[in-house]
Amino acid sequence: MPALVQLLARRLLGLLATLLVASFVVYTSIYLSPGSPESVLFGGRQPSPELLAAARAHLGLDEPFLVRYFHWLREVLGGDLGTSLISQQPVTAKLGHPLEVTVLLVLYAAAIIVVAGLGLGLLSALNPGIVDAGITGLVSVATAVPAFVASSVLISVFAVRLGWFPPFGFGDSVGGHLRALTLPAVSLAIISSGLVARVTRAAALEQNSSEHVRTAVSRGVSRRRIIRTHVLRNAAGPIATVTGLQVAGLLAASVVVEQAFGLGGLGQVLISSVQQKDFPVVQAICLLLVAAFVVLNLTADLIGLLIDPRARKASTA
Amino acid sequence: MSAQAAAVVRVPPRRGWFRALGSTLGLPGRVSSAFLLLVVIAAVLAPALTPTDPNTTNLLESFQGFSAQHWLGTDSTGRDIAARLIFGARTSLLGPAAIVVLALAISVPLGLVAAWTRGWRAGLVNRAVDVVFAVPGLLLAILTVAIFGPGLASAVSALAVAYTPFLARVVISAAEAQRRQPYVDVLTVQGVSPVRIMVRHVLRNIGPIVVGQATITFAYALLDLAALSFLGLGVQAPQSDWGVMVSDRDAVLQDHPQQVVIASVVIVLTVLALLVVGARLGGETVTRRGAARRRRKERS
Repeated sequence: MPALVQLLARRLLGLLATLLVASFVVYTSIYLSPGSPESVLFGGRQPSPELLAAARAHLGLDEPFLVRYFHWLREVLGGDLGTSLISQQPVTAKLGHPLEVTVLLVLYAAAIIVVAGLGLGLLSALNPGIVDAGITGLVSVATAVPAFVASSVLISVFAVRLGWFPPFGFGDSVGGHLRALTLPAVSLAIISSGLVARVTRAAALEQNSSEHVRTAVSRGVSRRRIIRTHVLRNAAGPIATVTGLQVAGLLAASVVVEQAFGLGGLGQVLISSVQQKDFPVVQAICLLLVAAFVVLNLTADLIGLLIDPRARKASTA
Repeated sequence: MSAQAAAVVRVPPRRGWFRALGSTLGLPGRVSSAFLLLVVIAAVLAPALTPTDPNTTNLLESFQGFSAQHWLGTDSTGRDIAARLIFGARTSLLGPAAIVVLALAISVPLGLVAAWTRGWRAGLVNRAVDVVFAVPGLLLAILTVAIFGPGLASAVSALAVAYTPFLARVVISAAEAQRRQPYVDVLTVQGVSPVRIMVRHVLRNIGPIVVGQATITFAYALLDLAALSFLGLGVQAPQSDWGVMVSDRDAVLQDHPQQVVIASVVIVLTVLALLVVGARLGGETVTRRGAARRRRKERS
């Protein structure tokens, strides 16, 4: 399908342009800061002019700005994210474990969002009356519970009072990781689950009242089959897109949850690097998170297009 | 899509604006607005409402329960929770208000220009919107704080930029729907300038949708600002803020969750009320009622 390939190529080009602009902004922003990178290196001490010049040459600060940017970009594309100003560690080595934590956390939360969002949405769409009203109310409240509120309340109830889960840390074994990540993942998933449930309910209701479903009912097709092949199949496009967008949004929200639970993920490293003014680490994490966010957003759109031929037709026409 | 539906269905109200507003809001919307009004009044009258200073510590009176002297008890350093909550409403509401006003000031003119012109100007606005969309708001705010230091000012300006594309998209799609309306052609033929058409007619017609979206933006801006304060990057201690109040992790771990739970409930209720009002103003009721009517018609 050449039209689809064309669409894909256009979206990919747009993505690359966006990433390029974002990388420039992330790189430039550091130079707007009142404290210069070399002053972080020297702490509070006043270096001699020769030492300062040597440090600037070492950091590559004596070259013109654009040259430095392209130099940095080439290294980033080659997989070298620079060296931490504080620990003198390569940034890639420093971010290995935190990245693992964040990815696990986001995946766990994504699983909860898919199960809870789809489940609650379908349940309320297929059971009009008191079930629907109850779930709709619950979902409305859920969309107003931010991750930092949820994490504080969940720690208080399930970690401190009941002692079922650890209040902080990442755990040692695989089972320990899962146990330690349960409360953070739930906190992270609440708002998005509510939004996905709402979209699922609306999409399912729309299909339920459509002519093709009524025809299927009159043909005597079983309820289960109608839901699977007529309601869900047609509602899948928007649900998949919204779910994907929500999961992409988790990347930024995870910063808060990681800090609340002391998980030691990317977000927590970001906050401590911000406080220490460790610019290369801040740059690397921001760039990573933006890139992941953009790629996930595009993936969500593409999945929506793949599932729904009508949307594909509309956007390639 | 919904913008168009709302524009088509909404009939100019014959009643007074106050009653029209009431019927648009419905019962949940009216209850929510009443709650929000209460929060605003509390924020404005804060010093008159609380006899105690929100920042006075008294270590002998830490973690007290509800009492006549301290309605909602005291926190880990013996500060009055009710006073901190009421004074905290000031920063918790002023920040998002500034964000929404700034974002509206950028997005409405840009959105109108993008909807009314073709070619490079519309393209430029759309590309800019796409690029800013690519950066999550919270991340942009953290980056800004990393550069300019923690505080309300950096957080507010970063979030204003981050929320501009959301509002701009709504303005663009609503204004484009208006542009296809016959009245625009009529006015154009009469020689009315595009600027005048936009300001006098289009802006008024897309007003409810934009105000609704702005209200929803207010809710999410409140959450993001509170999250930043929770991280220690927004409102700085000892100043009171709802996000700061939720962030007292030591109190939670020592099993004194009173302040955290109270502030959490207030944040959730406020955001819920804002989301309900925003959805109603933005015309969700119109589309939902329209859908219900359609369904009923099909059944009969």
